[in-house]
Amino acid sequence: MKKKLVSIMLSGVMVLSLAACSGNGGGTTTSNDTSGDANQTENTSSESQPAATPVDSPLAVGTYDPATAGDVELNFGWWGNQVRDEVTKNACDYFSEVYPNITFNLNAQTWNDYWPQMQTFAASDMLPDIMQQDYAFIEQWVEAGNLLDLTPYVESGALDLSNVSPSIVDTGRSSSDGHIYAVCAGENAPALLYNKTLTDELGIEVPDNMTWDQFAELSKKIYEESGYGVIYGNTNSENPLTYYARGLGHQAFFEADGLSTSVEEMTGYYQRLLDGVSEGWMYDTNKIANVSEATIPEYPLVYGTDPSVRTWVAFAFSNQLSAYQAAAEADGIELGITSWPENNPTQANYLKPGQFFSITTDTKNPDLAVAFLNYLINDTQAGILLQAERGVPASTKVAADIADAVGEKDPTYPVIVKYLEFVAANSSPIFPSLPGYAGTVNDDAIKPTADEVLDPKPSISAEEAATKLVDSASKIAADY
Amino acid sequence: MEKKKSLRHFMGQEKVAGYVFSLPFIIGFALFLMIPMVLSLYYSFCKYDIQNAPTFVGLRNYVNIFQDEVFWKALKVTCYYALIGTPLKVIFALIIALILCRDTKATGLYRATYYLPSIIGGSVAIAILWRRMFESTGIINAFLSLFFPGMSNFNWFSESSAIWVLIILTVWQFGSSMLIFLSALKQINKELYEAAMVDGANKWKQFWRITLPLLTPTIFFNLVQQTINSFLAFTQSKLITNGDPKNSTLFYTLYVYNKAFPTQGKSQMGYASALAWIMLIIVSTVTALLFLSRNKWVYED
Repeated sequence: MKKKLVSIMLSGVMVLSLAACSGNGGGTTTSNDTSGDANQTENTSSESQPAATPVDSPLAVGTYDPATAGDVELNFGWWGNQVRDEVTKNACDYFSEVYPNITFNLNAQTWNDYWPQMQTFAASDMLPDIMQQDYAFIEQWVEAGNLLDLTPYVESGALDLSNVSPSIVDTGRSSSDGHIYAVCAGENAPALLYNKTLTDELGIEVPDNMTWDQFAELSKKIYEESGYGVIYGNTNSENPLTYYARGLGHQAFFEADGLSTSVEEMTGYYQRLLDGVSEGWMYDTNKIANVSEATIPEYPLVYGTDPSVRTWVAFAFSNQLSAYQAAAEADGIELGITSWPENNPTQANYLKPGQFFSITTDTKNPDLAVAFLNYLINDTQAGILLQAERGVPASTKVAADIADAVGEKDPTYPVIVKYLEFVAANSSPIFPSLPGYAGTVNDDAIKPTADEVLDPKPSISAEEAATKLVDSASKIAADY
Repeated sequence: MEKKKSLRHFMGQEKVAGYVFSLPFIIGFALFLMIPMVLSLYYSFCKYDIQNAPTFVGLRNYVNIFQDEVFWKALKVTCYYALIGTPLKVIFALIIALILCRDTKATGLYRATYYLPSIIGGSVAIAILWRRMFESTGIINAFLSLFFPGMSNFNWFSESSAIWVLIILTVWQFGSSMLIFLSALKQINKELYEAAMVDGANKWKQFWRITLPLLTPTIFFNLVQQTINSFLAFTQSKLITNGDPKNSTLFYTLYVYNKAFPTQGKSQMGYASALAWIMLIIVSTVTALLFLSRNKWVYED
């Protein structure tokens, strides 16, 4: 009964605020046009007051003053590594220092544990207020209705994206309704990290924009001279396949009803794995099992006492250089960075909005969560504290303002910025966000097929593997 | 006054007091066992991805499971692990118990020491330690290569040997079985041994003719308990190998978990529930078979 009364009162307030909007008729208050259902309108009602001006605050919090929120605990979940956990905590602590009424409950997981946990939270309506997202999965989470539509907040000025380039803003839009559900936390690109100390010792130069054949030749040479190998294509990830497909001229690997690549094209990919394993420089499944659960500090690029369990490269992303370099310090290894090898590298390579931040529909304080998100994206001090660990900040203003301070703390930062400039000049536009069925293909088709091909004594030909992958992907897409 | 008395009378009844005292258990049992079980039985007939409401699909999950290669593989791996690991563990526990049943000053310490692994053995820390120990440059190979130089780079995590890393871990956790054997050994009547000695039976004969037959009820108990435990093992497979290489260490429970909580993609909770119910049937059948075999070899007074 009480609940009903409250909701009636709320809707009354809503009607009044709507009336106020239309009365003013200002261009800044059009948020109601875009939000289709009542839920979203209700969320925006509090800031659809006319002429939303930024709050006078030491932090960039947009138009909502967190000091007025009362004592609130915000939940913030992400996956990452030790470096990320630390810098994110610092940024949150700083926010609490300025607004002692806001405290944080932080939930840091590894990539493998993060998604199952979030799905369970989603089922029990317990998702954190702010949730880190991945480019690949935005569509899936929007479909499930777990992400808050940020479009009204962007339009009202509560979330300021004016310093983020429109093409980056667009990567957070859902392709189904065109609304913004996620904001890019930093820009990345695929990056081949390599043991520069080793290659220098061997007198080998690793060129940028390598073709696959150059890379294979190089790896073979390094393996024969030092015993260091390569781990490639083994995980439940579409990344290497996407890169391969783009090298062949497809923009994306996944299409609405299956893969973009033909069986013939995929045969070439699996042939690489078969050749690599038979030549010895590529890890087979038995060797991989030794390291399959490795986190960054345990990854064979930076950890291991014997060359037979070491790799000279990691197929990673540019922002990970920082964490890998931190782990490599113990052995006094210097890491180098270059593009992933592919036969048509400038066509294959891409700039990727790294992680995203989303606000979930389970949040009880959407305005506060948006203010905090605005701080993460637009505040210079937050940018310095976050150390660009998630990638170069999406806000060009923050990216420029923090360069010196972050570079001083983390010597890999200027290297990453320089690499991203190189990629910007040597890449093609990124593929669209993945269709919902892609994750199942990764788990149930890409990984098992790779396992069979990477067997020390494979009983499958490249063509059989290619057929298997293409067929099961279209079957999974059809069943989805 | 009258009312108070009747309440006291009501509470005073033995039956009622029994229920009141067992209430915490009954509530826990209902909340964390009965209700989830009934729900999972229902979900096993549904297509359910956690985020959206379940839709009833009848027996489709069960039909799909029997055509699922990975299901058969996981079942095979689990049976191999249970049927090899459990007897080894019980035999090992018995041997250690026989050694430790003599009373000397240090036996208390030894018993505690040997029991330790079964307290910590299922923990995450031990799983990670185990992975490190069996790495090709780990301490196990370093030790073995002292005697067998060829072992210095042996790959324990290959497709054929990875399951043995997990079997060795379960055998190492023999402590609780050992304790049960110890107390059973204590209860064997000393006079039997004295009589046997008078008849000229040596230690070996005494073991086969007296100790072993009288221990069979305990062996039976340990066997049943450990078999069930092996079928339900999870941590080791998840943390040490994550089912790799090529699903050769994919325990059934890990497969259920992966279906319910996949790293990527949608949860297949319905499918996972059906898998869990099949597991229940399998474990019950194995236990029933063990009980049926009881009359054949278990000695009862």
